[in-house]
Amino acid sequence: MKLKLKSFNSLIRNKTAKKIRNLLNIKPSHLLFDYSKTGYSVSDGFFWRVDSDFKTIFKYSDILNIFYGEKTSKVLILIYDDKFNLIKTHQNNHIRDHNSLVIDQEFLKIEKGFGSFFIFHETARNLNTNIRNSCYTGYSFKNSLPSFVHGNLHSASKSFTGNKIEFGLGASSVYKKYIYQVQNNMEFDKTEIILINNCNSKINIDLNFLVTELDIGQTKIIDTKDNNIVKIKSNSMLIRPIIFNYRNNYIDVYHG
Amino acid sequence: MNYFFGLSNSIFKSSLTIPKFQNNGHKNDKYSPFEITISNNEWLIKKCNFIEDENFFFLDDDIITNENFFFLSNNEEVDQFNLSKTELYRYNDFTNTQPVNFRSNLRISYKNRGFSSYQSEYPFEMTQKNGNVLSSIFSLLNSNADENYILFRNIFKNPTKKKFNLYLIDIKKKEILNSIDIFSNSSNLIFIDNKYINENTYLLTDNFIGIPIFISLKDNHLSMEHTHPPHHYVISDDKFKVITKLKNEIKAKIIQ
Repeated sequence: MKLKLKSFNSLIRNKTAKKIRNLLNIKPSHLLFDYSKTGYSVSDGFFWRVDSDFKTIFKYSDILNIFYGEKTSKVLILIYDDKFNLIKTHQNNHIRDHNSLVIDQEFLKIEKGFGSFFIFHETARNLNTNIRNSCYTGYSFKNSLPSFVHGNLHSASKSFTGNKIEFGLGASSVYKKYIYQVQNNMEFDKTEIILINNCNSKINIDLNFLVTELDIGQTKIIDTKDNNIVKIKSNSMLIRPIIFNYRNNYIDVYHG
Repeated sequence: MNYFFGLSNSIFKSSLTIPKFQNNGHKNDKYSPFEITISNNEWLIKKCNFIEDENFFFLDDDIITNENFFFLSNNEEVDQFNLSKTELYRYNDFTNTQPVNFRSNLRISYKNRGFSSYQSEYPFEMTQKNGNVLSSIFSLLNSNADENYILFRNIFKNPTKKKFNLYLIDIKKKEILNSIDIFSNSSNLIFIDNKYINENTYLLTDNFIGIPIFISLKDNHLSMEHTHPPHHYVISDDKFKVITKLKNEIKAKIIQ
């Protein structure tokens, strides 16, 4: 009986079942990761920005060593521009328990840009588990103390041993719009909303009546102008932004 | 159901912005903030003073103490549950939202200059549990900052303010580096000497759980963010087994 229940749970948690559940609106799932399989590293979609004012600091942990004692694990970090073109691959084969990567003009060899990045943990060992990297990204404005925010959006997965990356872990609907209203009052000099499309299809966005689209993996920065409310309508089931608030020369970055 | 909290001290000003709407946009105009404090070993619940606009309740440091916390409700619900004053209750489901929890914005500021915030909540379910928190301090504190702090908030179901230990430990050597007395049902602000900020230093609490929030201050700029609990990083079915094993190994060697 217990075995049957386990098999049933696996069945309804696989990707196809989730898509059917979402189509029929039966216990819809905003996340399409297939929990019936193991041996996968899931990455949040992290945001980077680089220009004369900004650099990005990514702090990440060796999750496989900390939780599973895997001493030979490595990480692969893939950095994409806002149009989802791969612009840099960073492999760390000598990972420490806690690591820091500075993404700046020198590292990317660009003057200015923004986009997304993803981190995958790798090991040759056959580990019967799945992990998620949802670590911490800091944004230093005019060389100030970085304002840190944790990851908030499952976006891509890769097996510990393989090369194939599956992007688009977020679910979207072909017929339904979802509302995500940020639960804060934006009464600042300036507020920027950062959106990364973590779905496997183009998504439509209506942010305070500003209508736009995001193709797979694309990133956008949207200035909220004078609105103190941020209301996002989208066919993405969970379009959860990162927020930059500015006042004088100070910034605050957090997830919505 | 979620509670909301702040902190009160001479270094940082804190404020809470509690939305009147869920993150799907659904609004409830019948609710307003109530304050809970301990009085004579009982929970004292009263409607609190606040400023409001169409979408938010604003609570500033005139109202916030290190002991009180807040929830959204109305007089009918509070009266209904106010018979026993020695337990916390799930007054309503308005703040039970999925997939993203209903959150307030907890902001701290420093001398009207730097500011930092995160979308915060204290879930009712956490108030029902004892346990241990284990978290790296390296990920979010900054040894280059002028000052670093940990804000540790606990809310526990019974109206008592009990002393317990927050240890700074060396996770490799399994040694206690420092033992700090903190209190249940309180926001505890702990100054962290930069000498403790390295990749082997973790915080470990004894008996009470809570939310560890990390604050760095440099040149009037602030960064505040909370760490994820360990089970956030393991997303397979073995997560609680793995985390419990890890915690038990550490506790067995450190907390006799």
